[in-house]
Amino acid sequence: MINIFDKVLIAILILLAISFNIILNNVFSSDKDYRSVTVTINKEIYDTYDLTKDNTYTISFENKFNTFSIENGYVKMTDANCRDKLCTSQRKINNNFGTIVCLPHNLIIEVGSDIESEIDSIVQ
Amino acid sequence: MTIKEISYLGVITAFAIVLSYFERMLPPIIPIPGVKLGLSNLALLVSIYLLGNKYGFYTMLIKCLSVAILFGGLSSFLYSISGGLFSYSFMYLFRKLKVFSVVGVSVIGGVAHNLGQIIIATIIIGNIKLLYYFPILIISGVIAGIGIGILTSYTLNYLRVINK
Repeated sequence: MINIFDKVLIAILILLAISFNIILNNVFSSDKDYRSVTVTINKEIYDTYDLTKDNTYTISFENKFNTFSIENGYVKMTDANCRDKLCTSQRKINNNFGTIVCLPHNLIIEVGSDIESEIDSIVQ
Repeated sequence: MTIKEISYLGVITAFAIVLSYFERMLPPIIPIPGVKLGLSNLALLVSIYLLGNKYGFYTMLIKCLSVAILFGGLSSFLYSISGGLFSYSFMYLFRKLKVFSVVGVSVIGGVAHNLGQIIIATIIIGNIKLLYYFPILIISGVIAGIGIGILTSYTLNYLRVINK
């Protein structure tokens, strides 16, 4: 049922995934110690929060809401009224790198992007 | 288009819609956007192999439209049609090469579906960091593709017996 070409294709795809993973880890990870969390909705920055202060925030917009908490430098989405609720079961993110995505709400929580983008805009 | 083809197309497309609905009821396997079984690809593959490329394309198009109208909205339609178009195009090309079995075609379909969705998600959300999910989506596409490919292979054997 599975012929040799299928196996070669599967092997190539898995190798591709592994090499992409290594490249992306090198591109995205950093040793920077980020102190802020940025929430972006519909491509616009909604607000920036302090990563060092423990707190729970609820973002409400257009009958939608997302609740996330900051605890010991980790951010976790705790509640949302989106369709699949995938965002609430995504792993927590810390001061090094990470994003939590809520696709149905076009919302993304990320650590540290504000500092980078400021530097980028100065360079440009 | 003969009456036989019309009825086959109707049944297979209905099958695709039901599979898509059934999959929506299942809990997510891993909490990563885009990781899923892609059960309706079973119906799409059956359509392509049994009825040909043209009807396969119709199945994909009608399934995406119907699912969006029945269960989803505009944004879920954008995701499903981009995944569908990517997956259909790659499966078409790989089937043309005539060396891959149903499993190989299904695997490339699964991976291409996830690739199309992550590209659209990156554009809609507007954040390049979404590409971080790319490797895991390739792996999940491969695993789902193997499973769906084997299922399709069995289904096609039964359907060809009926067809004789």
